[in-house]
Amino acid sequence: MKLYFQVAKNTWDEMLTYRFNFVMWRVRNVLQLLTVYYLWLAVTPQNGQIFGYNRPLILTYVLGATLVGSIVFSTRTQEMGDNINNGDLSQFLIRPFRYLGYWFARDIGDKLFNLSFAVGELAIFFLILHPSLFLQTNIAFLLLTILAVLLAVVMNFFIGSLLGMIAFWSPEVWAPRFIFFTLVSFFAGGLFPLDILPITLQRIFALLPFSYLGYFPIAIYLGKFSSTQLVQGFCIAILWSILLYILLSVVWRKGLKIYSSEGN
Amino acid sequence: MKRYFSIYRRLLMLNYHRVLIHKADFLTGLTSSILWGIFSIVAMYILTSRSNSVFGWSRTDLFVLVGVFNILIGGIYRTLFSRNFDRFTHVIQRGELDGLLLKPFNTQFALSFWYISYYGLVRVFLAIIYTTFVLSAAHIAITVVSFVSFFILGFFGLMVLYSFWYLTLTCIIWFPDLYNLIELLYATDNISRYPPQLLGAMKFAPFLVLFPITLIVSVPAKALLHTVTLSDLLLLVGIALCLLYLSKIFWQFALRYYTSASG
Repeated sequence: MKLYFQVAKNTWDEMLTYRFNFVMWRVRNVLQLLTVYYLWLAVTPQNGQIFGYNRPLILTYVLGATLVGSIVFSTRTQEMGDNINNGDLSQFLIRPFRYLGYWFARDIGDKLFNLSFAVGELAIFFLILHPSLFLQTNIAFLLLTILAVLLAVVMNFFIGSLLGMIAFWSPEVWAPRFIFFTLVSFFAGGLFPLDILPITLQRIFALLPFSYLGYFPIAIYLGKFSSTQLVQGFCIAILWSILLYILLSVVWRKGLKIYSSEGN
Repeated sequence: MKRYFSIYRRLLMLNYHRVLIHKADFLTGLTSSILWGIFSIVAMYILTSRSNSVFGWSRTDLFVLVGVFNILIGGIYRTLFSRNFDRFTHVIQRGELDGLLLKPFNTQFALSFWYISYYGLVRVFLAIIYTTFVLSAAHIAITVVSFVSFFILGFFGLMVLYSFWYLTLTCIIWFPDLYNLIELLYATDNISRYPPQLLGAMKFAPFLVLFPITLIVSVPAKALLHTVTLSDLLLLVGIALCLLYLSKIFWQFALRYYTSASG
């Protein structure tokens, strides 16, 4: 465990080394946050509702989506594909740690770094703009939100790793990853809450893993689910995590059998 | 000039051959480009489903704005320039600019026009159909004047965007590890799909540097909506020419500090 902790710490230090580069990333995120915030502020009536969301709820959703997105979607798994393609995987296979454990530790380092800045940015945002937001006071909902975010982190890691492992079979890794994240940005509820869609589409999305990467944790925080829906949601999210883990294990074993260490 | 047209014709052919060799790349780019186009329209539809006007722009105006964004930026700009700018950091960080500096033609031309992403043309085509449909559904006629105005203002809009990107990415000469600068520029492009008044609403002075970006799509869109004014036209053309000149001057200045991969 100490080893993986050191890997996470090294990732943190690596991001501190390229500070200006990281600042560019954060400026990008702040710009996107402000764009979406002011758009929804403009379309939501001050004392009315839009799609069943009043202004505090929709603005909380938008800010929550940004915060959850910075935790869940910041990842290092895109480097896995390069590792496999240029043969660097060979060095990792002889080291005394699990390859996937190493990348998960790097992911955690990356996420913690992004989270610390996201919290700081949101704090400045609150101080300057004083947005009217919904504050959840129910401890159970808050704990469940954190649990849902942790599940989303794990699921996104499995999905990112699966996409990276395409490199065992094809040198083109960026393309499927690009399409996947294009779809996720929409279907995870990053642009708008998924419960504004027709009920049939909502039921379909509830069965897919995407909504659990963004919409599900935020909707829990907003108190949108009944107890039954919470149990169903968590069951589906856990089931997807298990399925993705099994698939990842199978793909990893099959990939290693054909790995030829080209370029190394 | 004739030489550059001849070189560009050759580049068009080479890129076409690249498409034939890497068909999967083309299909992936095409799929994600069309998906982004659809998402941008759906997002605007959802945002405006309970409001008749946003920042003074009616629902029809906003749909036309999204359509023009997909034509100019999502389509034409991504086809001609995006792939070239994506490799900017790579070229400078790895010293590949040395080879381009030795070539017997302008380096800015080489960096800007080398690659062409043909899948973007499909998005242009689909966006034109979509925009035409929106205008006809709103009974807004596409006259010769509005079409020619759109074409000319679209050209200057693209000039603003190209110059803004080139000016900003030139800073990589001094900071070669700044690969997230490209991500930031993609985020700033997205602002142009919304009304310019959105930037004013943000009330954050440093973002005023993004003001030219807000004109890229809005002014050509106003031409199609028959609401463009002389001041819009003069502002867009003036900013476009100034930025293009600045990008050229700044690039020439920055090259003095380029130290190749060993620097």
